[in-house]
Amino acid sequence: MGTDLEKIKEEGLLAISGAQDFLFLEEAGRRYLGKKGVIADFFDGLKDLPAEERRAAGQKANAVKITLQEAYDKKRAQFTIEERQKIGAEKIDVTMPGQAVESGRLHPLTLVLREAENIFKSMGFEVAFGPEVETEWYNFDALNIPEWHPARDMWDTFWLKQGNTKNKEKILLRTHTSPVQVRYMEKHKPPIRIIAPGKVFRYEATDASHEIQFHQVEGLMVDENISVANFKAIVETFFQRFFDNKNIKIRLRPSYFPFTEPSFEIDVSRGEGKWLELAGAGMVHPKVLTAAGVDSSKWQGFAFGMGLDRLAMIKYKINDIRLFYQNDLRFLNQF
Amino acid sequence: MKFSYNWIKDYLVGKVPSAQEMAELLMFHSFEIEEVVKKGNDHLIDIKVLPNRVCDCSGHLGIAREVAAITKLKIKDEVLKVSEDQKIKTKNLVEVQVGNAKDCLRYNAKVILGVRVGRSPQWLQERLMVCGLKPINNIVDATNYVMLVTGQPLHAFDFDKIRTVAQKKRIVVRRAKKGETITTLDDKAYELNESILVIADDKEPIAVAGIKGGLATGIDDNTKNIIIEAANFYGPLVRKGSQILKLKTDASGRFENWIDPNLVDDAQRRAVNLVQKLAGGKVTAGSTDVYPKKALPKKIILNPDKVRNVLGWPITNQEIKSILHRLGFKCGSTAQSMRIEVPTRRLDVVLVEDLIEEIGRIAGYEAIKPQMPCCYLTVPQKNEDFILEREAKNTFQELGFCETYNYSFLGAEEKEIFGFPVKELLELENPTSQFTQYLRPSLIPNLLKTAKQNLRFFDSLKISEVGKVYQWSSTGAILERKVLSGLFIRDNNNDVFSRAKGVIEELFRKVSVDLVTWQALPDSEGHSIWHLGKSTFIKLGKEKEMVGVLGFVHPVILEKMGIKANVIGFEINLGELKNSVSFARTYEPIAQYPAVERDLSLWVPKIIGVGEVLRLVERETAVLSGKNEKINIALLSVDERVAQEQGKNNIVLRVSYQAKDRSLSSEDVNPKQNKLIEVIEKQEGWEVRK
Repeated sequence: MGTDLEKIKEEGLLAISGAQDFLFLEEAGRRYLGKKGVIADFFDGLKDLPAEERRAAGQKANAVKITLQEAYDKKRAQFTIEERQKIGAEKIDVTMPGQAVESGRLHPLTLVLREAENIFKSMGFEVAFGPEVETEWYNFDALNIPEWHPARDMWDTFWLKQGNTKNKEKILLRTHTSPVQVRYMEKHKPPIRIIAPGKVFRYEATDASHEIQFHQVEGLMVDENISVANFKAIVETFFQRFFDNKNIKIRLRPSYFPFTEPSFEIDVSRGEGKWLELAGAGMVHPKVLTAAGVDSSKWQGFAFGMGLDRLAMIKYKINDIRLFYQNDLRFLNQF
Repeated sequence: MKFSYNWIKDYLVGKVPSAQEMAELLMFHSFEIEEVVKKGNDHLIDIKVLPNRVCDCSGHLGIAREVAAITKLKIKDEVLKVSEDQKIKTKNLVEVQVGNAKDCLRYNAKVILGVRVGRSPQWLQERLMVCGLKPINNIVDATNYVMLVTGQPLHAFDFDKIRTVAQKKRIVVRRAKKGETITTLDDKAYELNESILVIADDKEPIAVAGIKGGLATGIDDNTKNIIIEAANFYGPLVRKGSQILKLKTDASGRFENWIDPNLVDDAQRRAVNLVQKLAGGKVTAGSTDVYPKKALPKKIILNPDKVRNVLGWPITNQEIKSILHRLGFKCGSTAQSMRIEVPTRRLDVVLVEDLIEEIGRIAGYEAIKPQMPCCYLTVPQKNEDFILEREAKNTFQELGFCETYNYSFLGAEEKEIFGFPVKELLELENPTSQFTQYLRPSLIPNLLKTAKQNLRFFDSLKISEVGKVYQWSSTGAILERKVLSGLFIRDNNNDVFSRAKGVIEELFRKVSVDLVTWQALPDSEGHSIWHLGKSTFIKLGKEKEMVGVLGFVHPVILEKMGIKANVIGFEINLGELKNSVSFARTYEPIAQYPAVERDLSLWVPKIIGVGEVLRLVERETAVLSGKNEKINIALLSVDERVAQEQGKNNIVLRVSYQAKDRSLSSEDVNPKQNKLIEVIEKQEGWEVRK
């Protein structure tokens, strides 16, 4: 009997101290100290012993149980510290550069356009589109630029050959996004608040600041009492948001466009007394409103046009407009 | 346009601003200034006078008037004395016939007899040169000088070189006849026609009206008597003549922008005064003046409230009147509004809006305080094209594509390589080079060009573009469509096609397009961008609408373009895709009960596409699944080699049986699986492997 207990104690202590990890230890604990374990079995077997021996055996068994439990608890505590230290001993070099992720990119012109769209949409402007292949009427005549007027020389135009159409209206690649104003006003009654972004084309020699195709964002707001003061507020707010600078100021200089009267150039302050011309604008000319079927005695408003490429070049400090259309991935991947 | 500062100053009284100050004032109230440059003891001010103000500001007097209006200075009162010989009447010396008053609104001729042609004095030559004109002789220089003062072009003829008819010199203003020619002052010969207005004598053209004088009647060192022409020609006609002859001059630049016929009087007076001073001579009395319809000042009714309303600024009636006065406008008043009389030289002021611009710019736009508009809050209408485009661009960015913006043009070389039929292509009338000869009917050519450039530095590429393509339709309409296109180039060529297809499928999943039919391109498609046999149409919905193509780019095209990689491309027409998209999403409850899976290994003849196998199985399982049940089919593998001898593919499918309301057991599933196998085995040549 005594030897059985001794044996149990020895084996138990061995099992516990020899447990290599927490799972082994738990198993040993269960085997010896558990409800169906060895010691419990022994206690069960006590009833088969004669009465005088029962008490002594029971006490001895208890002592063994306590010894084993202590050893178990100690080992267990040790395991937790050991585990932690072992985990702590595992190292990786966290300073090594991460693996490059293959990420897609949006073109910088898309990024800039989205920003402009967001700012204008927050002021209640809708986005409108128009065709890039336009008729002479929408691109010039409806905008008060008749064929015989020297003002036509202000836009170098790409003209398109007629093809086999019976319709002999002259077609061209639009030189500005202003035709969208007319198209939109023909289909929607005022009040109107739209921006019309898009590609435009100029028959020009290409260099760092000129391209044969580039992008503009046109804006149009027509209502019952829209004034130059309103225009200033909207455009100033736009540039302040776009350049993320509450101190940005704009100034208007007199200019001439056949489709606006008065007409202005918009300069934006860049600090240190520098001004950059960033938009052309004006109050929509009554002839344009009439051409689009809007009653100019009731409705008035402003229109403006900005060069999107130019805005992107300023925002990202890009010095050559041609980069936008050369699509070198070493350029595009920077955005 | 180049102006001399000292010259402008000549016309102003009082403390005149410095050249730099003057330039700045003009910039904020009138015109853009290109530059201000010191020239000796003068300054050159290069002013960008736009088409609407050429009528009154192409001369120094006009600019001086602008400065006066802005600064409230006064214009000098000039007294120009001209002594005319009353015994000789100009009318008796020169007769002018004007063919059509619409072509020539006014023709005025004055005569000076006995002039001494020589060099102009230094001061005059310098002024001309600052303004970019070359001095020639005192007569011609005088006419140019007066043009630079008043904006009225003048021309001097040698009196004696003009033919006499009935004792008078006869000048005829008419359209040229086809075949007539003229040699101009700079010794160039031009062929004329009826679209061109000329000044002619009795026999032939002696000048191109409003553009350039003829050599035959030009002033030379021996000229003794001159005729000075001050006239007004119809702008569009002068412009047309200038375009036909490809001849632009200081005179034509002014006439084509339309000028006031009344400028003639002041210009003539200044001209004869100046010529007499420089070259002596006797000025004959009066002039020969053909001016049937006198230009009268325009009258505009102006409601000052409208000015305040449009500017958004409470400018006073007094200030409005003051500004208009300073500009030379006359202001009268009625009960509610002002009656404004516009000087005839201001051809650009016709409407109330033009007056508002005058008032606003002279007062200065910086005074207007920004004021947010007060309107009804309206929610912008949804622009479906905008939403789809944004979704497409976002999806492709997420899938690792780099967005590009390529040129809308198609070069002559690319047209040949791709074999686009010419009658479908929109062609430029005035291309800048052979690279801009046509408009692109597809985004693929320029994407390939971009890919080629980038393949020098990168082995793999995923580039995309959303842009317009252009074509003539068969009915002669212009088709301008927005297309989403891309190229997929991987240096390790395994399973590239299925990866590319996976990208497209992800896009369709994003926009909830569920019914997609992939149909291999037919074997004979004439010339094609695509490698037939390795490309597919993309068709959507029950109607199988053609929405695009996905496939390998034809190797011949790649070779011709010098691209040494395998390229997969795709084109999706966004306009057509729009009809099938939805951004609505419906939640489907997650399965509560486990699925029972059964794998099926099939041997199917190679000619049957995997898609067809899946369709058949899906169709059958749809029939077999009961209420609240769902049967999913997953493609595990396709192996070409296992059954190669029999000419079959080994396709392994996993069939998952699932019910929403209970756990399924083998007893539920086995009969269905067996029925499925039965149906499959009925197909000719299809085997189910056990």
